[in-house]
Amino acid sequence: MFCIFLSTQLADLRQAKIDETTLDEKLATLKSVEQSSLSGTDVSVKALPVENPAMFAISQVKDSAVLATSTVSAVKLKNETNNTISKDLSFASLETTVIASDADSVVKVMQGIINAAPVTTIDEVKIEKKLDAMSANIKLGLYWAALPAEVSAVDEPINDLTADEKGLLDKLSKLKQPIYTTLVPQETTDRPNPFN
Amino acid sequence: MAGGINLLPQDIKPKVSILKLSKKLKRFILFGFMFFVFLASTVVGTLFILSNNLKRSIARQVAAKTEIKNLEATEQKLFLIRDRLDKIKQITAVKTAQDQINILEDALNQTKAIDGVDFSGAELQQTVAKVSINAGSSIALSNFLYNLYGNEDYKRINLLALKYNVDLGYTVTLSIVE
Repeated sequence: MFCIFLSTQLADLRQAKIDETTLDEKLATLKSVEQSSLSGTDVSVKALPVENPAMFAISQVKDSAVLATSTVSAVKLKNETNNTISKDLSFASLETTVIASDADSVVKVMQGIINAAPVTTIDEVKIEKKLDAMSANIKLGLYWAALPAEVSAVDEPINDLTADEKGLLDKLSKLKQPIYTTLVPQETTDRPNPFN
Repeated sequence: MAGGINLLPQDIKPKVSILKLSKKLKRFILFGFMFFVFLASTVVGTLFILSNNLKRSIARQVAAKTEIKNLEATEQKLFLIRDRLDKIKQITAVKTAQDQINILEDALNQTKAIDGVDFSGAELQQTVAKVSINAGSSIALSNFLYNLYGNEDYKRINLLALKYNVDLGYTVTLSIVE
């Protein structure tokens, strides 16, 4: 009887010590998390947005084309359902035609797209010489994903970002961010005649 | 004098062996009882210490959980960043046409380095880059191919098409795999 009670107490204490260690480690991790890492929240969400980033991607393609003295002559967006990477990721394809004076400009446009947020993939490229210009048909992959529905349980261990993850975050922070325009609301004015 | 006379009949006097056994039993019971008291107190003491330790551990867990709750925002941010990074890693791990851009750049540099060779088009796919050029002469074409074949990064270069036109010269399409 005593032995059973004693072994139960010992098992409980052992489990309690394990839980305590896990919680202490988690607390220490949370206290030691670098604030610079946390500032990466915005960067990571801009790199992989919550909703279809087509408008931002189109804007980035146009900006890259302007910087490479090229023009975007056509843009076609197609929502795809057969994303092969992961079921957690939503996918759409954006087909764009860029007219440039030479192939180097086309390369510059593609590099501009690669170095811009949101993260896109260049899935297919077809460059043709048309008269004195280069016409490039670039097919881009756009990705977005919903935010995680729930965080881990309180007693679940958590680790700080690894060096690899910090490196990726640093790379993402260097991507050219899309320009967000904030519309200023008009001031309300009196309307003496409401029927006018 | 009084202690020296035993008035009891000798036949009811216990045997010496039984007396010895009774003495031993008494001693055994005494020691057994002492041992039991010692054991019981040890067990109770141990249980008391264990129970106290458990209570203290639970109290520390509650305190840690409260502190973790206070740092909930940090945890949520960390969780969100890791979620985004994991998904971005999945995207960037897939080989795409953008991995072939350096082949295109190399081919473009070769066309610039050799007189009489012009870039005429390209097709970049997931694992292969197809590059088309126009060469005004066979010497220009061979120089271009020589330079291209000299690049040790390329695993395979296939000649997909070779056309000759008196006005344009040679039109060559190559597929290059890095």
